[in-house]
Amino acid sequence: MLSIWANSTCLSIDPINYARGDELIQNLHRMKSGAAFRYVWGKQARAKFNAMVDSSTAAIVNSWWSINQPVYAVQSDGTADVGTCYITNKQAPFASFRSGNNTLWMGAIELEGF
Amino acid sequence: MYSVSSGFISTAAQANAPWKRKFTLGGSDYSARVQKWPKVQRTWNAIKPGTVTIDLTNDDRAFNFFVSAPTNIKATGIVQLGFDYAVGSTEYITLFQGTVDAVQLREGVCKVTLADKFKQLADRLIGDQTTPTNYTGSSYLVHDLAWYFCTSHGGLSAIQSTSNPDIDWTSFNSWTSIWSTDNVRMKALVKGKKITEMLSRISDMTQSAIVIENNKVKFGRYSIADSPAFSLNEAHVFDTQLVIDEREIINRVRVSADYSTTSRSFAITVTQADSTSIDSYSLKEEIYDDDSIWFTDSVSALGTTQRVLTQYKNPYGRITAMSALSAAQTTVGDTITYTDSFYAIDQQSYRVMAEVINMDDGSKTFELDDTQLQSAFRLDISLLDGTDVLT
Repeated sequence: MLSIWANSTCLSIDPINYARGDELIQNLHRMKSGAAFRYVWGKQARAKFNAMVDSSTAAIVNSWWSINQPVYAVQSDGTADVGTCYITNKQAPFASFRSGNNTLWMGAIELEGF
Repeated sequence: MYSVSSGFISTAAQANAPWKRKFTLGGSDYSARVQKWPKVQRTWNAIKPGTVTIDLTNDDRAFNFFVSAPTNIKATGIVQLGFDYAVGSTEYITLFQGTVDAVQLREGVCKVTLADKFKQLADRLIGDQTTPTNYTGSSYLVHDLAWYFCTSHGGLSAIQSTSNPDIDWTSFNSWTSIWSTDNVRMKALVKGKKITEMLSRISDMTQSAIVIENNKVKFGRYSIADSPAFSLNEAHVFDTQLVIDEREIINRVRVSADYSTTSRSFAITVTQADSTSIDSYSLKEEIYDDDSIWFTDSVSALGTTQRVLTQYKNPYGRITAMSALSAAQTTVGDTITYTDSFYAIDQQSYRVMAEVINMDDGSKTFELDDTQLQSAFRLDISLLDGTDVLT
């Protein structure tokens, strides 16, 4: 289970196909001698997962997405802490009902730390 | 060289040095908001306002204070590079400090342009056509004129000690001893010129370096090769360019002196030539005849002719070396040794004449040459009974 907090609201979402895609903000310079200098300026945490949620959860997530609300996301077992991040989907995370069901919304959430 | 600890130097040399970048504006740390870090550039004799532009995220309208309170445009911005050591201490070198010159807000991005201390000297004029500023009543030592331009006209602090916040007193004091010892004197009649322009003329005529370092105007005339501040070689350099430009050769120099503001002519012109260079590369002349600032006598003018001739009578290689940040503390004016097997350069001494630090990708470009390195060895000959002097 994944918990996402913002503005005193906590949502619990069961992620499907949860994947981390962290990226280092870095530069690598290869010298004439072959030596390499690598400078890591920071780390950007990224996570992406699918989910099916109820209307209320879908509406809250979509509203956070629409106003670029910083959220705090964490795996409930504490093993995959994402931290403070933005919901970076290009389109609203939950935009369609699950097939054959008009109460559960399905979609994907993309999170990026900063 | 930037004043740094030995720990800084040893950390900078590491292949995985934990570099940090810092941007503060009006005392607040906005490092986390920087989208694009600037390139910071300095050249030994480019006396004009230096600027850097930093792209900051403004999605949450944090920088709208520039709109609501435009006086914030006078805020001081500082750009730094350094380390947070594991023990908790922090050591940064200040690459650029200045006031906000312009702010551009566009959608979610705020571009802040900072201008350094030369901006103040470029904003102000000395004299005008109706009321020229007259320094012809006496013969002034070079540094006295530079001091008056910077302080009386430029508004920089006139404190004659290391507590001067605008002028690097230590370097200025050393610079004064050159002109006092040689008794090099000038006069000036300025009719509405920017202070940076007048300093540029002094720099040109005396072959002096005037740069901004640690937010202070630093003066100097490079002389002997100092102890190398760094040994730059293929372990630090990832790209090199070497340019030899015949157009930079000067083998006959004329410096005009003792200008009469009445007759509008110079009473003296000191000329020196190098016959060997003329034979080899044909005649290439340079003249220094400025009617806003001039040497008062032939002895004062002679130093410039000799120096320019020594420096530029032979073609020289100007090296542009792109390196990692391992020599970040090395800066304009420092002597370094350079080694490049491809060009068969083996631990040769050069002086850093310009630098560009790319804070975005963590690289540093050095421009090196040996024109301002008086002990640089160059193969030269002198003819018996000739007038030229081997240096």
